[in-house]
Order: sequence, then structure tokens, then C-alpha cells
Amino acid sequence: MLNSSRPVVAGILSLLSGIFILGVGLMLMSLSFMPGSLSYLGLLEGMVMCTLALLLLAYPQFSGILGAFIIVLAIFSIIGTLGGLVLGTIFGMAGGTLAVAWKGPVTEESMVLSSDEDQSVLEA
Amino acid sequence: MKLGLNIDRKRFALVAGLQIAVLAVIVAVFMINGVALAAFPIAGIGGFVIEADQIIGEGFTLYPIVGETSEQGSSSQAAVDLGKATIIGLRLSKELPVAGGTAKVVITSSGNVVGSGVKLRVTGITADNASFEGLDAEEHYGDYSGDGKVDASDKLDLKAPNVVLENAAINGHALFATAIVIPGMGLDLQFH
Repeated sequence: MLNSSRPVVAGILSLLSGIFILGVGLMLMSLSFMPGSLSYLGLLEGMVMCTLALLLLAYPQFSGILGAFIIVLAIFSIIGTLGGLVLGTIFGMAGGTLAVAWKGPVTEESMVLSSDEDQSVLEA
Repeated sequence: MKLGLNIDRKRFALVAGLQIAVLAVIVAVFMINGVALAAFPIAGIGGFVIEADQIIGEGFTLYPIVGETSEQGSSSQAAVDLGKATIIGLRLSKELPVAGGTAKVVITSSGNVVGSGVKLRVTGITADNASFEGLDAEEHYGDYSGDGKVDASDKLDLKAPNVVLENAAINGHALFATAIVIPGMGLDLQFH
């Protein structure tokens, strides 16, 4: 089952978000280090978002806190890169939400419980 | 889970709802205040025209600089820094060649535009009347800017604590602002 051992979909969406934010940051790089410009934030946000996405895939046990950081960063990226031209924010919010809501690795026990829940729903 | 996402649907709905609410509040604040924070890429388009009934600037500095435009890799320009700027009757326009004609993007404001940390690169400024308070124009020798190299930007600068331009038109190639508030912002697209 997809996402059974780690939040793959959340990680991929967050990584895409980071790529969009970083891409816009790179496009603005020539302006990034002008005094008064905040576009350097795009580079920083994109790199942190990519790192968080990779950490999410590497350490799924921290999906809750990493997901929360991804959501905050996705919204914060509106400043500096306009959220990676909006797509970065949308992917980041979706990825972060999926990460926070991820139930953890699927064990045999949880699969039994899950099938019991499905059965009780069907009976109801 | 039918989709195999292995997620807690209640938690998903709660978090999604919360963040959409937060995002809606942020967008609403932007729309109410007309705030476009920093580095939004109006900059770098090149060759746009800023017209205003009046521009009131504080902490004015002007110095020569070499910068790029949409037509040239490098050209002589003037860098204008303003610590704070109030623009009355702003009209910012840019003409873009499109298939079958020209598209003109016009950004206007119904109120007074207030910006801080404003930096412009320009190739022309015209005004019916320009008044400076405490104008100081100086030539310099050596590395005046302290950036470790001697170039055109070190040779001359104009400074004034206060400047007022009436019926001004600026041919700009880059516009940066640490923060800018555009009340009653309007965007108009015209095809010719």
C-alpha cells in the first residue's frame, strides 16, 4: 500500500513545492542581494522546504512536526517568491497536511483494526 | 484507506480547514491594506514608466550605475534610493509586444502610495517642477562606496534629505521596495 511505511505522497508534494519556490528564487537571484530586497528569502525558503521534504521521507516518525513546519513555510513563502508562483504554496500546504495527518507505519495489528473499523462502518 | 494514503481523515480535515482559514486571513489583510511585500518581480521587467502627480521623497540619493534593460545587457543608468517615498496619483505602465499588437499593463492607485526602502534604476526623470531641500552634489575619488572596487558609482552622487517632484515621469528599469502600500490598487490591460 502506498504510504504504508512512510508518507511518500506528502514528501513528493513538499519536494515539488520546494522546487517551485527555489526555482522562483533562482529566477530572482540577480536581484536577491540588492539592499532592501527580500527575494533572497525565496532561495532560503526553497532550500529549507526541499530539506524538510527529504527529512520527511527519511524520518517518517517525525511527520507531524515536519508537516507543521512545511505548512508554515508554504504560507510564509508568499513573501519573497509569491509562494513559488502560488504552486509552491498549494503543493506545500497539501504535502504538509498529508504529513500531519499521516497515521504512521502500517503494522499487521493496525491493518486488522482498520478492517474492523471498515466492517463496523459497513454494518452501521 | 481506499486511496492508500494512510491518513487520519479527521486530522486531515481539521488541519486543512485551519490552514485555509489562516491563508484566507493573510490574503484578506493583503487585499485590505493593498500590501505587496518586497521583491515582487515588477523589478527586472525593464523599461516601464512611472507617472505621478507628485512624488515626495525622504533620504534621496542618486548615483550612476551600470545595469541591464530588456534591450541591452548593460547600459548606463542612475540609481535612485529613497528612504521613504509618498507617491500621489501613481500610474505605472509597461508596454509588451504581443502577437498582433502591443499590450499595455497599467497599475494605478486611488490613494497615496507609501513605500520604504525604495530603490530605482532609471534612464530618465522628467518633472514640471523639482524641489530639493539641502541638495548636496559631490564628486569623489577612489572607493567612495566602500565596496572594494572603484567604478562609476563612486565618482558622483547627489543627496538631499527631502525632494518633491511635481507631475513626474520616470523611465525605470528596476524597482525595489522593502515595503510598499498601494491603496485602491487597480490593474488594467489594454491592447493596441
